[in-house]
Amino acid sequence: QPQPAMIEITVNDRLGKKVRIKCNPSDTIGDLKKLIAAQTGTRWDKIVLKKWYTIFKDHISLEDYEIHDGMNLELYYQ
Amino acid sequence: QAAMGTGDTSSKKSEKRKRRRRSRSASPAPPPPAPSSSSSQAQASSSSSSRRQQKQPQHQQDEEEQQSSGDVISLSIEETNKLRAKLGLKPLEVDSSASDPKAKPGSSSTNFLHAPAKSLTQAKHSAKVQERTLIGWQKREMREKLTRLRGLGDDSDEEDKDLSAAAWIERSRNLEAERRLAEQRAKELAELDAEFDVSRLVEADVASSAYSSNDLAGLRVAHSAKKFKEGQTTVLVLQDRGVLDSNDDDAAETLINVNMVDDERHAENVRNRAQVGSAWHAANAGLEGEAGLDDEDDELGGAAGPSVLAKYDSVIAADSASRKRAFVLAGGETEAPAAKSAAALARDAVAAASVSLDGPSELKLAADYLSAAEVAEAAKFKRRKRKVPKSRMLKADDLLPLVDDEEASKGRQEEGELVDEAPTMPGLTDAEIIEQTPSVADEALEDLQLLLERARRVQQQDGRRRPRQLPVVNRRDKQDQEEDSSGLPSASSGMVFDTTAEFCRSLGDASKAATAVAVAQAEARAAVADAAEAASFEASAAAADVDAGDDEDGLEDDYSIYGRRKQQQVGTWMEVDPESAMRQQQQQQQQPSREQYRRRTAADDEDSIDVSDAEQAGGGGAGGILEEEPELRKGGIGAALELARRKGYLESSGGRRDAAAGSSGVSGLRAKKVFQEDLRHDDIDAKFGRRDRLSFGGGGGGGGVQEFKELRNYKPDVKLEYTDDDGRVLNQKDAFDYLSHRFHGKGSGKKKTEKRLKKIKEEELLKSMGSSDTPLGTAEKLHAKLERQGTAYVCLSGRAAAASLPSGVSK
Repeated sequence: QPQPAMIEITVNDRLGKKVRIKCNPSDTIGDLKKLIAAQTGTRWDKIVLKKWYTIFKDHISLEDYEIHDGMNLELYYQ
Repeated sequence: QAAMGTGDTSSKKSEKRKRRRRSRSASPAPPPPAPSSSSSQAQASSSSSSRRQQKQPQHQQDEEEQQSSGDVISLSIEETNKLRAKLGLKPLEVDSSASDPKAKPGSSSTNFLHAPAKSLTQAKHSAKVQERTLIGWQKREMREKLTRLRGLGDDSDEEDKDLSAAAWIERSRNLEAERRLAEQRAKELAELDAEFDVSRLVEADVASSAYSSNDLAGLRVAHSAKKFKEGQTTVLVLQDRGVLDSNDDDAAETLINVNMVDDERHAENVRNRAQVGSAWHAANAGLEGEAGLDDEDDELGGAAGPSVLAKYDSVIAADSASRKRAFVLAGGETEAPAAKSAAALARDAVAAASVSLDGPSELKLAADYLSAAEVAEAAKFKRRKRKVPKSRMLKADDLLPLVDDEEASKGRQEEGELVDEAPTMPGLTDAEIIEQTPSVADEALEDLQLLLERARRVQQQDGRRRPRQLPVVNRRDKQDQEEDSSGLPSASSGMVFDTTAEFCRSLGDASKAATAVAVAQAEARAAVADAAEAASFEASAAAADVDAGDDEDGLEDDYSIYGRRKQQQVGTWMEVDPESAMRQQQQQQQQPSREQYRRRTAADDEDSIDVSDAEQAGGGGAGGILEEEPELRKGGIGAALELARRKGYLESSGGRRDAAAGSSGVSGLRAKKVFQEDLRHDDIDAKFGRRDRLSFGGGGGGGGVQEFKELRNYKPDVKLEYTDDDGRVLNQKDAFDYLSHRFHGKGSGKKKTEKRLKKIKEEELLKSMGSSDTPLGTAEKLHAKLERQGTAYVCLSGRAAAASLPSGVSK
């Protein structure tokens, strides 16, 4: 399946924070965290992105994690 | 995804709801909802709103601004790009055109292209095609081949074009004939080859070749002819030569074989090494091919001793050897020398290594001493040293140089050395001096003087040497020795003290001294005895009875020699008092010959062993060790027996004691052995401890019980049988039971008795059982039944069987 040029991911913190982030699939998780931090106002190294108990690591790209357009990630803070 | 929203009015709301639903549906089992922190709106809306939401494609929202209302915060693309630029990330990729996997080579989806699956039909098809093509090619090949071949019908000889069969037959026959001819020729050629040398024929064939053996005539070969064996081809090359070397005899062109040259060099090296060192190498050098076989030709031959400039010998020798060895090729054929047979080779090798065992032809026994001939030789040799005028006489003046010589030679000469090496008199040797002695009388005087001097010297025992007297003494001494050599060495010639000799001498001296003393004593006693014999006769007669009765004395007299004499004991040594010994002798002599055999013999032997006794006494008194052997001058067997008894060869008085003790009379009745028991009345263990069978009841049975001599070998066979009240024989266990019942007064209980009775019954039955029948007596019963029935059979089953049963027994 051909990857879209830009994807939008929804990151949800169950405490009321829900952010939609536009990014490239080639962006890493770290870049995504930075974008989230810019939008939410926290520090990016304090953010932990999870999907059920899978912690996404900073150095791996979104397409490698197979995070596609419209996926939801869970936002936690460390 | 169909939009299920209500209307556009509450687009925001719907959007909210959609988003909410989407978010709800998208996420898995959500964590427990925490109380809201940031946006209460979102919380309220999430809990209360309906669940229907539609999923809108994200791309529609691209143009929207950041919507902070609701629960979702999102930025627009421009904003995102700005943000990204701020962060240092590359801007968003907005897909303007349809995304092409080939345009993005890096993406993971485009990286892997699966290979198409192998289509089986295609494979089959291709295989078929391949096969067909192959077959077609083979067919073509075959067709072409066939067109090339010529059948029988085709003409072989294209010139003749003769198709007739006859012609063909003729042609084939010719072929055969030709073939046969060829075979014959080949056979003949082979025979010829066998007769003549093949090489010759070959050479004849190769007649066109440029060189022949004749061309080689005159060339030198630097190896010996023996090395070239028959049947062996050796390649020879020209030896290196200077360009300007003339073609003389010495420097003619020589042919060499490389391998042979190497071998020769090796052999030479080995031989040189052998000359330096071990015998092994020398021996083996002989065995190595060339070096050994050419020994007769070599100048060196075997291993020669070292000579002047020995290290160059090898070089020179090699050169000469090689020159000798070389041979010149003659024109034509040079016959190679017949190689030595293997046997000859072996013999040569053995001969080279063999050692001659012929030692000195006559072997003599080795001797430590020179034989007479050798002595003469030696003497001759000595004599020839100096020649002296015989008329010369020895004078005092001659001694003057002698003194000087002696002083000079003080250091050399040792004290007491009687053999002098160098004759100090100039020009005189001992033998010659002997010839020169003027007279015998003078000689004798001189001898005496010399002897005296020597004795004096020995006595003085001084370490000083007297060199002045020495030479004279020595010469005379030699004469003495020569004179005395025939007879025994005189006692005064030298005092040699030897421990053994001293010991023996002391013995002899002591015994001699004692003997002398004792002899004197014996003589004195003899005189006394003669006088007192008559007087003592009566006295002894009176004492005889007493003596006869008094065994103690008699016994004691037996051991008189040993007993009284040795009464004195000094420590462990027994000393003999010579006075007591003398008294003993007197007593012995005083007893008259009328007494018993012992005394008579003693008296008889008195004179004979008188001296010996005296000697013994004297010897004992003087402390001599050995006694002189008594000489039996007179007295026959009696004296000899007495001597033997004294010496201890005989057991003292076997028969005498009987006579002395007396089997007759009171003495015979007395107890032979008298023991005295030392009874201890306080110790009870001692009383009852050691009790012999003799001591029971005062020697019960009158002096001990002796077993019957007749019944010594009696061994009774005891059998104890116990019987029951019924008369049955009981075994050991039953017997004991019976005994115990009788003893205790009660028998066994009911069961036990029943058991016992049953056992008894069974025993009875067992006894009464016959061998011919079963224990139940089946055979007999059967026989009885048969008699009763009158038939020879019994029915075991069926109606007849029931009838035949005895009454009262039901089937």
